[in-house]
Amino acid sequence: MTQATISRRGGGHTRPRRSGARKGFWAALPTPARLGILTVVAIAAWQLYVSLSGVDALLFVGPVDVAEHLVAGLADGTLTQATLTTLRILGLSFVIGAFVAVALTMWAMWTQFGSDVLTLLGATLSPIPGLAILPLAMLWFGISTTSLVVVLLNAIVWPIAYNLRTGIETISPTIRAVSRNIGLRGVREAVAVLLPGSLPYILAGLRSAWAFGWRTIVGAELIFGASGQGGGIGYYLNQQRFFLEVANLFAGLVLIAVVGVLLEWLFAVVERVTVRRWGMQASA
Amino acid sequence: MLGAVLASLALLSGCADSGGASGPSTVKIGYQQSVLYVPLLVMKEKGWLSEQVPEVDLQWTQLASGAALRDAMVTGDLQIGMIGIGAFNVGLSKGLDWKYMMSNADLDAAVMVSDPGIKTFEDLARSKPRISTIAPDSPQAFMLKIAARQYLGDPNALDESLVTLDAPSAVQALQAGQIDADTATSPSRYLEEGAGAHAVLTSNDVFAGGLLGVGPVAREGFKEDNQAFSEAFVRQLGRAVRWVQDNPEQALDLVSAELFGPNSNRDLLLKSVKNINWTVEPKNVLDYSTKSAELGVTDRAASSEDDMIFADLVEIAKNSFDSPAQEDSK
Repeated sequence: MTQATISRRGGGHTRPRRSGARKGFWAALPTPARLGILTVVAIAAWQLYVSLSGVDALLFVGPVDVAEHLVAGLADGTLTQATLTTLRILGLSFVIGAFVAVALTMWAMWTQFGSDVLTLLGATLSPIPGLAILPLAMLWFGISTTSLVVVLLNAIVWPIAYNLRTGIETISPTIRAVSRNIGLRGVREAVAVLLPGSLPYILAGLRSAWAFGWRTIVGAELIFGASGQGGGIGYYLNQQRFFLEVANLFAGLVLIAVVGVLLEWLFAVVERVTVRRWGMQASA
Repeated sequence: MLGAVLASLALLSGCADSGGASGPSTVKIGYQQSVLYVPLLVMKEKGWLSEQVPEVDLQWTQLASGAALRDAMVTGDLQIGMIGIGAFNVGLSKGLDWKYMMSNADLDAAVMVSDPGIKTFEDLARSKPRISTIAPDSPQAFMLKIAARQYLGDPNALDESLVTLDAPSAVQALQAGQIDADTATSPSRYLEEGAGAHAVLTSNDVFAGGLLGVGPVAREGFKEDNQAFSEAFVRQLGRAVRWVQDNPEQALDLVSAELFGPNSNRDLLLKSVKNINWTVEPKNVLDYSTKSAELGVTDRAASSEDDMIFADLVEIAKNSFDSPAQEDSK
């Protein structure tokens, strides 16, 4: 489980250097330029392999083909619709999961019984991969969005709850004592002190939950999905696989990666304009 | 980086032995878990093929779906795959150089519904149903399209109703009322029938005269390089298909444990084996290919039946099926 350990600064991911070490050419480049060059080289190598190797087009297609199919899929709405369907289900699960996680954690912080319940549930349920729950969810809730939401909840609740608990536990005892002295109790204490005080950890939990949830829902949709235009991106991938539309399969994978990167970026922005700006950054 | 990694994996997966002019040293044969593969397993258990080609190392692999078998044949991991007409036709339309060596059995699908108030396919369509199929490229899914065109005037009328489920999940879902209909094959259709469901449409209603359900498929290069092996294969499988038709109980006893495990429902499987139309003749394959292109399921149709079957091998299989060996008749 990923804990709140964000200590990156300025959005960069450079390795720490010894004091006084000379900056090489590569390291001197700004992060976007470095990543851009790497991307271009990878795409060029990919296209070169496809052009020179004579690989079967039913196994492997080049980036140009993939780009064409990606644009076509977005333009005709099939890929856009599939992605939006997946994001809608994930968003709904995220809201429910965050609410459940906060409620469970607050209960755990206020009572020993609640703490034991959270510890027991977390220890037993969080190691179960979301997809392992899917057959049971289908049995109980049918071939429906509800089954996907149930599976997603198991992927989403625990990262948020664990990180929130850790965040609350790291709030200074003095601050908590002061808040009690001025009469803050229960929900008021949670809203005024506990949640804001553990914001870096909450963000880290949300980020982990998002990553777990995104992988889980795509996997779950590969197993079953509503038909026709009702299916998400995993369902779309499965359809393309069955009909040997390899370029569309690649396009779907590229889109999944792009959406993943965009949402990671969104979390980074939220982190920058909140906890970093407010000097609340958690240390490792 | 990603491209290089994927390229390496693709290269690795394409390194399987595909035989040669002097005959194959190893042949990998893929199949699925279904009663339709009883003859293949009979051929294996009785050692008929290995007796004919003792120099060949025969490897038998069970995979989960026709698409998985097709993928394995594309990469060269399998030399012969027992593949249904749906997955085969999609591969063919994408330019895969493969053909049926013979048939094994006709399709025996039925649209099963549990609501006694639904008497006909039109009744079902009117009820805004949820209908399961085993795979979107399956002949069962295509059967619904043809039926929708035939009975409802719109081949796409039920597209939004389809749910992809494996056979056991579909049986369970139908019983639980989570779906309204299941396009089931044997033995699921009999299992559902036993639980009170009834058929509102069968594959014979849609594909008059029958449709190839499953048969062995080989790529053209493999067949050309290994003609003698290919002939031996279809001769022995044709013999096994006939033997299963004539001896369903013995056939089931022979392969049931390997194909279905020790706790399978014997009565149900026997009913299936007895009711399946065992045949070596690929039926209506060109019609299937033509209609699927017409309805936009595939990009293009085969131009003739010769594009879809190895006619010389089918002829050998027919001879074998029609003239069972004397020892097989005992």
